[in-house]
Amino acid sequence: MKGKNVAKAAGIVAGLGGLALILLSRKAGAAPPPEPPPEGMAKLYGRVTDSSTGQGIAGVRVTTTGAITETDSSGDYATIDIPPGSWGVRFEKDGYETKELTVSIEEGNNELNMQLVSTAAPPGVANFMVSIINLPSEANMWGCAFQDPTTGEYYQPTNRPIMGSHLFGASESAELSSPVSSGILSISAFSQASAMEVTQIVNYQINMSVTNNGSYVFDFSTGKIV
Amino acid sequence: MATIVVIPGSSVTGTVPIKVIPAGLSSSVGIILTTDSAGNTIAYQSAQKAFTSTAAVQNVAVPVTVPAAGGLFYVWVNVMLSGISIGAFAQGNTLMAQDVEVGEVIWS
Repeated sequence: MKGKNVAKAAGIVAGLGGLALILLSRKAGAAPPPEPPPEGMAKLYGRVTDSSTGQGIAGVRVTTTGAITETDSSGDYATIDIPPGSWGVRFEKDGYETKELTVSIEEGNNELNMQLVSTAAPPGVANFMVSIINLPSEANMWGCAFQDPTTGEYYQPTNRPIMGSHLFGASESAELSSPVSSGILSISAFSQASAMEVTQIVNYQINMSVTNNGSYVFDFSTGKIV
Repeated sequence: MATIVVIPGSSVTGTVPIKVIPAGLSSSVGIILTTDSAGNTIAYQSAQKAFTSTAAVQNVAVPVTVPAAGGLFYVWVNVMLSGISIGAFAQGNTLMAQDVEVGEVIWS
């Protein structure tokens, strides 16, 4: 059979929790079929796109039967000629969730388009870390929140369970996720005698811009980010 | 651990005694009800009730709507100061939401 086939995906094996969206039909803007393979052989081809933008992704490594090919500037790829049958295919590129699946490939050209999910934070979202030095001696805990100055919304550290204390010891770091990169870091040192008796030793409000995956150290002795 | 019996779906008030030092801090407390003692399953979460600290014990009244489904609920108090979440702390009492309706006996 020399016509165009559609590879049948048998299962998604790997990935970081996201769903691989496998496009099993040809559509406008899809990869053009390559030269058909010789009689009795098969070839896998298609386009790899970003799941959020729909744009082709260049430089995605497509591995099947141990052979690696890379997508071109349009996100298109075509494997070497391979025997028909059931083969594992792996799509991987830094900054995207790796997708691995098993496909049934027939003789001739087999189209398999793939969408990859970016592991980068969405635009405007900043995930960052805050740690501290020089916690006041009379304090035993500290806490922080990042405030969106437009909405007034506070974003709390994400690395504490919902229940229980949300404060940190001197050597611990707070992980925050904010939809804005410019805001007000509210940071306090506390002495907590009991759950319902809290003393705020000092509080600072710092206007600052943060970068995604940034790490910041706050010095309680100066009230500034180091 | 004391168990307070309430009517499912009813509106009650939980009064939280809390001491925040110093005075003048923008503070709030809320009440969370969970169906397990570890706090894994939240059945209800009240709005945060704002108050300004006085550096002395304050009794903050928090309106609570008891879950209509009824059952035993563990009580937690969620504390925030200056926008910073201090934590959600387990309380020493539980709420038992139960309601019994007895109809007329039918004889045969």
